[in-house]
Amino acid sequence: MTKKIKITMLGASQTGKTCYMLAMYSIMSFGVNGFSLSTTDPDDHLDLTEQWENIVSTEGKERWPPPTKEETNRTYSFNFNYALTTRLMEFDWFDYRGAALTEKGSTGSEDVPMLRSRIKDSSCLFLCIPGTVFADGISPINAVKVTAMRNLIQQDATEGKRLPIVILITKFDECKHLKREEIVDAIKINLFADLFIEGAGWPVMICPVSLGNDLKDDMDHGLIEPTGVHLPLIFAIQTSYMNMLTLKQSEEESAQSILEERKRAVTELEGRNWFVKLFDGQEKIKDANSSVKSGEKDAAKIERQRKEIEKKAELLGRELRPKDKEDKEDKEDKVYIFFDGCEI
Amino acid sequence: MHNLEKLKIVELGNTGVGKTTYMASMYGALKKEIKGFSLEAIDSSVDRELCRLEEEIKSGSYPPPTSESYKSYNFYLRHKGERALSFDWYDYRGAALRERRLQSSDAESLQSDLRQADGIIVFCDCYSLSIRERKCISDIGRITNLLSDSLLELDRSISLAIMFTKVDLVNTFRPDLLDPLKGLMDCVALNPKVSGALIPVSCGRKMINVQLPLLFALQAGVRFKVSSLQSAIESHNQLAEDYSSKAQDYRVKSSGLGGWVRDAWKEHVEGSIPYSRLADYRYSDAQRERERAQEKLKAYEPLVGPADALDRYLKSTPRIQSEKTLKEYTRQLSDIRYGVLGRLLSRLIS
Repeated sequence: MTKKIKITMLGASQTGKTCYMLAMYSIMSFGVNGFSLSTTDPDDHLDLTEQWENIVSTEGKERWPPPTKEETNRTYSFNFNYALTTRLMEFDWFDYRGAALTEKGSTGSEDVPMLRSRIKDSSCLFLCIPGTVFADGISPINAVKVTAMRNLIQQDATEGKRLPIVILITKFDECKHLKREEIVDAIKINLFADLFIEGAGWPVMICPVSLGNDLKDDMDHGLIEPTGVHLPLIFAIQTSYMNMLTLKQSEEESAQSILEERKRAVTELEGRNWFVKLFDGQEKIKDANSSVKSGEKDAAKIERQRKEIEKKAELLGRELRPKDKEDKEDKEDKVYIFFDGCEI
Repeated sequence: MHNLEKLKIVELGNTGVGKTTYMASMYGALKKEIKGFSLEAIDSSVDRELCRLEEEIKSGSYPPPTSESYKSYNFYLRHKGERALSFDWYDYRGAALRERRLQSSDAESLQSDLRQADGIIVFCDCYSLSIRERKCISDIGRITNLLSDSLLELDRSISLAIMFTKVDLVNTFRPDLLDPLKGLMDCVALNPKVSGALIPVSCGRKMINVQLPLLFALQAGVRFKVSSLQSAIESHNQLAEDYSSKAQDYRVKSSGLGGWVRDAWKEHVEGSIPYSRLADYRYSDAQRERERAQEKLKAYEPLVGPADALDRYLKSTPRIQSEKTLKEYTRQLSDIRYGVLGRLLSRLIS
């Protein structure tokens, strides 16, 4: 039982959206701790890996993919699998040109309204903030770009929905010299304070990612060694499972209450005096009993589905939890997960 | 629907990894009996061609990359001289791995064959892995992608042998040799339906382990076939028993004077089938189920011996299992490559 979700990545031009997607796909297509990613169209795999190969094996400016243009906006469809044969989720990933973010809907570009409507349908948003924003201090230009994302999340797109948000600090190598806590605080206090208000209900992950530690000094020749790129996706899928779980739990509750009601009806019918039952009873009791049976069947089916979702959510949750003491400390791929403003 | 009659083995590996060389070497080795197992090509021209290739390989001359479209070969696996089962071997051009579906029909049929495969042999060039050749590593990603795509919602047990070719060119197995394969190995280890193994192989003047990948690739399919036949026999026997007991009930109801009256009532007044005839019908149903069980038993019995023998023979093959470290894998690879003493010796030398 899988469903298809949409993941949208927001970020200004040149913040590394396409590169992140390529790195994430490349790493996950090899499999990470039993989870793997495959494209639903096998030819897309070849396109994506060719672009990634170019980044890894070419040196110079031409290693980087050109900025995404309106005409090259693309949606990729992926399967997120476990142990090769279990599809946990199918999702669409929209790779759009970053400039669309700061344009108004009336500028003539078709992709601006498309992006807005896409955000409305998304199950998770990835917000890209390059490490340079923190390294250089938050300049007015950077603030404008972040404001555009914030506005999209809060008013325009999600209409009060609390979408899971991944704040990706791309090009983390650029701000590696800063203390992680300082960066996290800058996000919590200066950039996206609304997402961290207690009681506001936003599930948020802050995840530093880098394509390679050497890239800060030599972007065009440095060694490509991505870190932490798979965790945001696990978070996106896990939060979708948590939503599915909530829905299934309420479905289960209503199935249970329907069942209880039906059982009560049987008891009532059986409790009537023998004379009434003689003329108007046996058929009704029979019908009521069969409706209890079908209710039990429905409830059992929903319970099975709920357990299955729970199992998968737990599997994904385990991947997000620190595995040992070392993970809790200042490890390169350490992530921060918040719910309702509190770190969990 | 899975074909129970014939097993299907598919090989996956890029150009130059040694697929054709392996195929001919394996065939040559298994022409003679190894632990009771041998191979027979159904087509005699295939037999001649593979034997010729094997001779050339033994003298140090390796076949060029396959240029034509994919080929399938049909073999019998013999056990103690008897034909135990037949299987098809699908040999793809390595280039098919990196072809788009619009460009070539091979890409499409490779995927479809993978979906139906009982055994898959993934070829990895051990030497290229040891020198971290970019293309070799990227091929592993492509293979993992193809497997993820083809094996989704798998409904049967299959074998997946990761075969290291050209191991004679590598002195020792270091744990980092397996780094690019770790993701795939983790996925296999976590899947109870996929039985995985790592097998080092060398083809040339000295053949190393050439029979193992094929026998391993067949193992899960044979086991699955045996257990499917066993449950089919049980279910036919159960049905036969149910029909017999129903027939018995009808027979009792139709016996004696009371039975005669009941039958006459059913047939002439109700217009339905009398108990005596129902009993006959159920007896013949039971008979039909027994015959089906017998048919399955005939297919089952000759397979049990080879299936058990395969299990015994492949016991020491390095299995892909969760909780195993890369170091443990490399130790097992060395054991199966050099033997325990050889491993210690090669460690001393290196």
